[in-house]
Amino acid sequence: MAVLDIKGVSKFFGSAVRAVDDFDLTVGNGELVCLLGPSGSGKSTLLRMIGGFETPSAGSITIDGDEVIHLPPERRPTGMVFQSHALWTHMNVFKNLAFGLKLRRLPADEIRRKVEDVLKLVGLTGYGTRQTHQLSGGQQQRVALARSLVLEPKILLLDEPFASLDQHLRERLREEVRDIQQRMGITTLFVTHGQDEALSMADRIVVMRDGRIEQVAAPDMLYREPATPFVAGFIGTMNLIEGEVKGGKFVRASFSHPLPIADGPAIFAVRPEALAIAPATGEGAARIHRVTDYGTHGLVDLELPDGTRHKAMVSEARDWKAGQPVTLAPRAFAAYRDNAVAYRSSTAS
Amino acid sequence: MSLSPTSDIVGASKKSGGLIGLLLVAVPVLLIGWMIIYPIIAAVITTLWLRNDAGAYVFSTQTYRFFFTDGYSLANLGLTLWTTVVCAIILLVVCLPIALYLRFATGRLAVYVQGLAIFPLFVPSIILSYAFIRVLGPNGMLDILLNAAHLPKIRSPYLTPWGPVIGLVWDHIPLTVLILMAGLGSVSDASIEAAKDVGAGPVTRLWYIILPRISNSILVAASFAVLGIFSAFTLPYVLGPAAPEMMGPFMQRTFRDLYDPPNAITQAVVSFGFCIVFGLFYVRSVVRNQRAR
Amino acid sequence: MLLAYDTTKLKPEDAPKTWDALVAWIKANPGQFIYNRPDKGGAGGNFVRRAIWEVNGRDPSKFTIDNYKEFGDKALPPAWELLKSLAPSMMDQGAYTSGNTQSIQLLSQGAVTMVPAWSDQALQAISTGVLPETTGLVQLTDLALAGGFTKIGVFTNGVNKDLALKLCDFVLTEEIQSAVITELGGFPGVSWDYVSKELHDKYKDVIPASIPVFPSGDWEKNINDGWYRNVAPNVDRSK
Repeated sequence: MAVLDIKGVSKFFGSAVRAVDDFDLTVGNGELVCLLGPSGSGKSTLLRMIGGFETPSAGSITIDGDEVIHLPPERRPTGMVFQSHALWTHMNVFKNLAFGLKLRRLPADEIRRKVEDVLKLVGLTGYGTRQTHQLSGGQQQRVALARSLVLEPKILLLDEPFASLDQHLRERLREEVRDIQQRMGITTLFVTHGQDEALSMADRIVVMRDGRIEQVAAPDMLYREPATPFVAGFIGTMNLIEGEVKGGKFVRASFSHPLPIADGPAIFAVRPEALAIAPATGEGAARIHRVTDYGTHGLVDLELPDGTRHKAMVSEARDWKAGQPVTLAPRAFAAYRDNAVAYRSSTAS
Repeated sequence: MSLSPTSDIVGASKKSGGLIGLLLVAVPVLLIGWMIIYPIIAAVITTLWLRNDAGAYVFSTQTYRFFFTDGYSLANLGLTLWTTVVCAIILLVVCLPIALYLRFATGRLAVYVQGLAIFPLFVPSIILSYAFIRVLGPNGMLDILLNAAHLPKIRSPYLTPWGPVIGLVWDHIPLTVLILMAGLGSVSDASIEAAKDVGAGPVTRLWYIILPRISNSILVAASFAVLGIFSAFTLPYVLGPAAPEMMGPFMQRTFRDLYDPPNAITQAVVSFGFCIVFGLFYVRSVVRNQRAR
Repeated sequence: MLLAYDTTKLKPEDAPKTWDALVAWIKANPGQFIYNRPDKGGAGGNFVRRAIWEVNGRDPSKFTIDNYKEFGDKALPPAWELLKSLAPSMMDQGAYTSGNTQSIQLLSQGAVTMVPAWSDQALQAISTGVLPETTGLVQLTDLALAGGFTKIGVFTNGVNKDLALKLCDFVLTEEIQSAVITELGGFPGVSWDYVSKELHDKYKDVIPASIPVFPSGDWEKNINDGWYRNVAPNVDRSK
């Protein structure tokens, strides 16, 4: 129903700190975009600027073509769900949901109908008369979501809404939120630092680092073709081996592999599941440091002679033991130079 | 059977823990009993069992009847209630904006404002009183400034009922601000931002989101102010009019200058009666707060 | 006990030296006089007592420590009427400070022209600069404002009676008696004869014929309470 357009948005705190630095992003109608990054990457600051809680130092934010930067939060067509549920504890559930509607001077019966509808939507039919402290953490966060949804915002903003919930509840709620978002077709921006959350919910993921975009991509592409070593290391597990290319060969300590790029420093990236190992006669390329058995598969910690550690996935943990010398055979890999992809093997994992 | 020694030890440590707890509580409880409860009971008894001409003690409500039929005493009580109510209202009106500012402002200025708001806590009333005369008294600093600006002199509040009001308000600002700030501390930024987000403007946020959440603190602040002001002595004594006078100076004068302990104690019991009503407000709000948790 | 006044506003030769002159001056200069509540300091208390003497034939001997019961109801009401008639001419149409010090502070701020004050406190205030050099002191000559004495008693059967009398002699030397004025700001209670000539001349305006004393006893509490109930209220200060 709405398109969010962010252009050249920056936020400086003082002269030294650039929380968000020249940020561009367009979120399409009905799309759910996740802002993913470590703490301090500027993702919450960006979300709060869209909601109107922070003023950008530069740039423009438009919703359906209308500039919103000069509007206070109470006049923006956005709805925000906060990390802590932020319910008004002196009001019951119904009053929490009806508050915004009353401010819009809707008739009482319409308010009642809308509140009941949204309670049904979040699976809390009949909870209207409960006090907020009588609800579980998950229910409270559902009410917070309903409080935003009931006002039918053009843009829904979620700021790590599940951070305070336990793992099990988090998984259930993210499915529910995704269902509701898709059913309503509401344009949504979701901030998280958990890659599972981003990968399971988002249409597109924006990986942020130090206030800048590292990569924007669909979840599967992000995993398969990370654009930078940072994304490669942040999404899933990736062995990032720093070394030198000499004469078409990547070398790091006893590990070497053909790499058809010009000579110079490079980072060799290979995921554990794409790194095959075989028992070596003699020294081998690496030595097994530890073997962990997960039942379905095993994970082997490898140590290069210079002490750096890397991981390889094996189908049967019992076949391997610590101290054993092995050879390394990457099945699919990529190489980075100057913070960009320099080479990607054709059979990318 | 092998478990029983262990459970004995647990039992013993629990018992001694309980005993230590009791001992810790005993000191304040005994002090309250000795220095507060006993004098109250003694005061009530002293004022109700009076010595008659024959030297025997008989039950009599005479001192209370005198107090409540004596126009002079009632005028003093009336002035005390008036001062208390006016001070409490002004305190809330003055301190709520300060507390709101301190809760939501950031930066260096807020630190200075906070320091300034807490400052009266460190100024003894007697010093405040004389400073008041110098500043707001006749030909005081304010008059000098007004005169320099070719404006007429003010009608000085010194020696009028407004003198103690101004002094007491100034004196009680720190405590009131601190209590209100404590209340505002429990109002999360997120809950206020959520209100902004659903479209509430500043006034709506204050009225529907912030004030209901700190209603308890307001009640506590008002109770503290009322309790402190009702029995105030120094400021009404130095700054107030000779008559009517507030209960504090009235009691002191009756006791010390009129050598009339029964009537002084009667005045004290009456004052205590009014204060206990506000004390109950405070207790009620504390209990309600604990239940809500 | 004497009257302290501001010589820049009232010339020493015009300062009232009798009660009638004082009352006339107060009424002619409304708002320029204030005395403190009689129980909150001797200055106001003795001013009130002087008024009581005034309406009772200016005769301190009528008042004894035990005659309040017979004499009180007759002696006090006319005094209240007299003081009430002065109230509209007080500072702020009937304000009364709550202590000797506040009266002196108002005098120093120029808010009033004259206040009753303890001689020692006034002299000390002048010497420390709290009151300006231009402060004048005057005593009523028809009957002085009531005062208070500091006494030294000697037991006739005391073991060291001789030594005690030696101390008394020492206290009565010119050096000490002059110091009572210059150092303590008090008045020589026994006689002005023991004081040096210069000091005697300097303070001749305030030397009373005698220092009368008002008895305490039941008088004290009834004067205090009567003043609060009769003089302090019943004034319309809104005008």
